[in-house]
Amino acid sequence: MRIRRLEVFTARLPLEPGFSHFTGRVTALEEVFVRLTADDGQAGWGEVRGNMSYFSGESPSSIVAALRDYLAPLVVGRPLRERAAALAGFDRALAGNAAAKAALDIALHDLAARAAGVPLYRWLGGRRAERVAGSECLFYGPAAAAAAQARAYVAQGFRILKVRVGIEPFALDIARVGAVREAVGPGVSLAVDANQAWTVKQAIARIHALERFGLDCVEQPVAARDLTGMAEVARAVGTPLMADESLYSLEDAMALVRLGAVGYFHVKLVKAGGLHRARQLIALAEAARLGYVLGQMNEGLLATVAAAHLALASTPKYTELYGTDGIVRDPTPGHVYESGALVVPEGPGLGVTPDERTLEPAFERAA
Amino acid sequence: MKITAVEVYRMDLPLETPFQHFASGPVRALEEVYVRLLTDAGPAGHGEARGNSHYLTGDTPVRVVAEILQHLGPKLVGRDPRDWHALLAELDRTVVGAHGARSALDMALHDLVGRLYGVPVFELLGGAVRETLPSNQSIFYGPPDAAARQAAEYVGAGFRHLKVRAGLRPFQRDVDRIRAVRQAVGPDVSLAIDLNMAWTAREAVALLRQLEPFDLAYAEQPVDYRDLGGLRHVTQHTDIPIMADESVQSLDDVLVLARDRVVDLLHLKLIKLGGIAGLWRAAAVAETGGLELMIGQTNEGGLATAAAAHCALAVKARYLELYGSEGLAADPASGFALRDGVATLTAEPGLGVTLDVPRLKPVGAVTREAAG
Repeated sequence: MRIRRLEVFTARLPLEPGFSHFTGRVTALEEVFVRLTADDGQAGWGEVRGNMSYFSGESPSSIVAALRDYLAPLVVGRPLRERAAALAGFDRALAGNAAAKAALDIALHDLAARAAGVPLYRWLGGRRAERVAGSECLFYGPAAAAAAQARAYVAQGFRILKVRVGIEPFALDIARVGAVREAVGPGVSLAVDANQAWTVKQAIARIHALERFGLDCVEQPVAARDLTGMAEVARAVGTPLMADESLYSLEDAMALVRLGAVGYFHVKLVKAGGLHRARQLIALAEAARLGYVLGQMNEGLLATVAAAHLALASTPKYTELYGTDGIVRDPTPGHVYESGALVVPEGPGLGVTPDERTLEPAFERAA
Repeated sequence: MKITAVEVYRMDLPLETPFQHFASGPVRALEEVYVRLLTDAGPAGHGEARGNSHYLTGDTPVRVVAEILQHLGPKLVGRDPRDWHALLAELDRTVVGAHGARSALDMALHDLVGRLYGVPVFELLGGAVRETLPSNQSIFYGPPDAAARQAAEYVGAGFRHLKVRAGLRPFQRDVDRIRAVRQAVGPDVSLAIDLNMAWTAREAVALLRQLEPFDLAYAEQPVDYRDLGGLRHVTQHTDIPIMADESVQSLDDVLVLARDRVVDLLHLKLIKLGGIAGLWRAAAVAETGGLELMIGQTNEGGLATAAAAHCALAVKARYLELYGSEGLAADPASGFALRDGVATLTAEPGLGVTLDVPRLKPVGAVTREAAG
């Protein structure tokens, strides 16, 4: 079975109401879709978020160009059985560009599992679990609004919430996290995510100030590249840290382990470069006795489902797969959260397929 | 879909030429333990572990059989084999160590799931990273001229990587043998040495320096497996890449070796890592630390060797050592072969190996699941 054709599409998914990040407001997700077609007509799909230049430096056009100019030639015309060789070639052909690699990796996994006729989570050795806990996120906003939103999430069944912090003045963060804790009570797990906003000194002082609200972990307190700073913070505070922007590649992960900088990895397919690399990161986390969370960017359903399959074939502390929240029209029908837990489609491969008519063709390459 | 029975078998596989490992005493036969997983869906899965691995993992045939029958088999009966990720984690928690027993059961689970899905096992591991499987060969202790002759024969047979067992005393005997082999095979054949823990760290640094002219690809396990500080010292004080073998007994060892940059390469074997899934994870950890790999095996039958070959197809490794089922007079497994120095597998689902079950000696079976 040979891969005969690669097609790349883009799609703009408007968000209602959108969300604020520390760099600005995001009102739509600009997604990149990949379809691989084998010589027997079977197809595998992949999807990644494109407009995340504030996060990883990648953009829809950079992802399309990386796929067209560097990655497509490694895949098109190749037997599906040699997909590991193709994936190994990605990093030799092109440094970084993890989201572009992830889009193809997801499509390769979808195609392989579809060809075998089994759901992807089964293909990876996983099983339909009783309940895989999901989490929700509280973005910036007034304390009262955050508290109300937190209560709403808890009413929906969520028991794990993450509060975005890192805005000035810090008193606003204190007020918001305090209001959320008061609203949800002691039985709900709370974490905060600073998205690199703090200096090492600020992080130590501010985490100490926030610890009275009972935090499970603090995500990415300092700059992504400041791994020694992360380690310094980790030694100074009682709450375990989680690496997000600091953790893309396998080398990043080992550097964090060597420094003893974190208690948790935040594993995302778009950062790791797909399911294969994510599974390698998980292997390291398990060997190093670190916990890990399986998350994603705000992304469309197909991308979210790919991460959900991996969650059933691993043992994450929890999943952070609320990424489809607020999407007005997703090209892929379906959902992944029910009562605060994960539901994963049962069909072969990813078990979902986007409606091609809603996608904008970018390019096509055939063998 | 359920596993209905775990059957356990024994068979001794006599060696055409007995071998002697550093601490093994003369090994005249491989004392193999075979497992067979039966299901209510039809297909069966087969696994194999070397029982007389006492000098390598602490396993004995009696122990491997007992661990499967008493502790591990009951965890599998009544369970869905497709849940292998969770099942293997459970086996790992059930008995401390149990290298051979877990490896055999892991192999059988992968074989079974591959057959259920109609795909070779390497596909379950993410597909092939390479097209062919060129194996090395080993030159055991003996006089220099015999070693040179043996090396030339291997090169004539297609092998391009040779490993010379070294660590003899006085050291001049090693030098003479390695020189004779290098002269016999020329500069284009990759040559390595395996010390099997023969030296102290201080000796290793001094002696490896004297071996640098022979262009060695790596030196395997120069010092005692527990002496990680010594191993790291050697790695830092020689230009020859250092490989850990006996120091790799578990995923925890792999983490320490990679995290602390103790060595340059790891020799991964199924029986040390509890099987295929354990080897895959160990390879992932090694890659995060930038270590290169050899995928190998202890001397085992063709079923276990095929399992190692599937791993070698799917996992990025610089060197392969897949000759372990050569020279067996009566291997009940068929489907794996070493031809012209290259390992070959069938395209059949699972491990692609046919096991002649009637030739095996049944030693017990588990047919009821563990209570609770």
